[in-house]
Amino acid sequence: MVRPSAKMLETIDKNYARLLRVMAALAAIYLGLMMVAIIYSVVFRSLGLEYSSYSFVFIEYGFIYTLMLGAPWLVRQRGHVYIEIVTAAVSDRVRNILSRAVAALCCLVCLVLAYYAGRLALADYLMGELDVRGSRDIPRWIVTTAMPIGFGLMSVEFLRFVFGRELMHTGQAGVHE
Amino acid sequence: MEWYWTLASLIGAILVLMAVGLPVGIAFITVNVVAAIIYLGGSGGLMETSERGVGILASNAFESMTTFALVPIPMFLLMGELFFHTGLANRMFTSVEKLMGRVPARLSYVTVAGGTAFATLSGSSMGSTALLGTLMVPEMTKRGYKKTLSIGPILGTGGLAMMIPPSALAVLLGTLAELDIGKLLIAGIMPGLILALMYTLLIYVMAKRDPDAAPAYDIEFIPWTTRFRLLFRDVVPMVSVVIGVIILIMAGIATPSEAAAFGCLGVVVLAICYRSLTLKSTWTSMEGASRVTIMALLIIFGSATFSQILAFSGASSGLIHWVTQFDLDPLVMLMVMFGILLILGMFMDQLSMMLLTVPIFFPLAIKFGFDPIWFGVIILLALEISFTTPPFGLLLFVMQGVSPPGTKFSEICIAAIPFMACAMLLVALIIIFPGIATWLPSLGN
Repeated sequence: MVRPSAKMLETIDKNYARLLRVMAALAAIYLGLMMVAIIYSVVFRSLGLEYSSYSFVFIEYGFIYTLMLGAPWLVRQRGHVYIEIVTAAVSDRVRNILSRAVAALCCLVCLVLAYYAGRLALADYLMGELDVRGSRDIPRWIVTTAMPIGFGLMSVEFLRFVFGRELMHTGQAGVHE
Repeated sequence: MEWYWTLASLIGAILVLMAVGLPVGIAFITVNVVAAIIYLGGSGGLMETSERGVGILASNAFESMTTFALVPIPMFLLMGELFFHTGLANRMFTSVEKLMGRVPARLSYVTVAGGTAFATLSGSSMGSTALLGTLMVPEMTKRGYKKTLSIGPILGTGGLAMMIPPSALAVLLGTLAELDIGKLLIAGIMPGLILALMYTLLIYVMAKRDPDAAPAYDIEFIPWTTRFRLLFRDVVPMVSVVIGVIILIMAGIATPSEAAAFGCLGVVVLAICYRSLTLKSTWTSMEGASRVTIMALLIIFGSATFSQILAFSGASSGLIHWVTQFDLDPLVMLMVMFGILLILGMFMDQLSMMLLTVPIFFPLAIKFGFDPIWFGVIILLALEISFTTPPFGLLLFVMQGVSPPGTKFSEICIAAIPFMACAMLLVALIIIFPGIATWLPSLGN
């Protein structure tokens, strides 16, 4: 069996980080496009012109896509809201253990959700479930597929805090956002 | 299990998970996953109940997040980010400062205006406090301002930010409590203006009583023609965008979501006119707005099933039945809820407080016959007051972190008290005269 070299692992890590950044960038672009889609539909509606009802689909699905595209990167950036009370009050040694345990729990929860959301997406695909939105029938798997991917990648990010050098918590008391 | 054990274990588990440092959204999801398996999973083995329970949770999250009602949150945030990163906000505040001329304590007034705009548009009182604490307090300290007139106004602006549209947190409260978001946004206007007036009077009285608290200093005289130019070039257009958003909602021309998108467009057009829209500013704005949006969305995702679990487990109905049997005066009930929010504000952010309390407080409020919009305004004010109430309000600690070295915590608390008293007085006024919150929405379409 070929053991991965340190350089190979570094390349994978670098490309994976790049993937997360690209996904987060897509989430940001999606928000901008949501604004364009709303203005397009309102202007066309007001002028009595025909407009695509897919604009509504694009807007309403936007939140799932934005969340699932950007949340893994935000985990890496420690950008989700969290409160440090206990982790700020304990010694460095205890914080080291507690922070990793918390990250492990987060990882587990994300994995559970990724698994069940994956089953939901698969069932949607196999059974041809449709979501009626903006007078269109949209296959539901198109959007539910985003959930297992997003939660799966989030679990990987939490796993980095379990085994990596960096801790999820800073040790500074307060609400972090 | 009795309803009170269910309620205590659900809320207790969320609080414990938050305290040990789980991201708020993940804390909600964790408790929801376990509770969904227990309460929504039906009968059968663990795999079977898990599949049903967590399946419902994922389905609920899908349903509650693919909704047009949430659109104003990212749009208001984007509008705010564009406002600041294109330099429009800075242009406006610099002009406002110049326009105020030699008015005593003018920096305090500018802080109230700037802080309100920043906190409203950024959706974060903490971010706003940190920024203004870093920017304004050293400047005011250099000019000889006392802490009451430098730190106090910054701490006070959070309350204004929650009230005056466009407030992303008001949209979130409206979504969670299933209120008419347009009405809730409009309902905040009058209380917001009254609070702004109270702050203005407070600063005036404080500066009058103690002129040394905000020493006057010479500034260059600006001719009236220049003042008019500043007003119509740098202030009126920016304010018009916000007023435009309000008019669109009030007149029923656009939904809050559409009005918010047009607000963004308004800022973009202004930035193009002022030649300050660059690729960099656009990108930074979109990135900033998406960051806060994603953070909020994860929490919404996590809480999507929370109210359903409370209802299914019998905790909501048990609590309502228990509370109503005491035949409490509605005012007492309101004060109890207010008190709970004050306690939560000592260690929790506003979003978490909302998610934890809305599924319990709103059914109670309806049972007690409160107008939901009126109650929503009171909750918004309570959320902000709790954040700033001495001695444990979180914003006080944020302020201490960014204040100039040597600033005592007691000085920050003392500075906050008059401004918090104004906010408390406003709550009392809204209780006595509910029309303050309900009159404007009743006029809208």
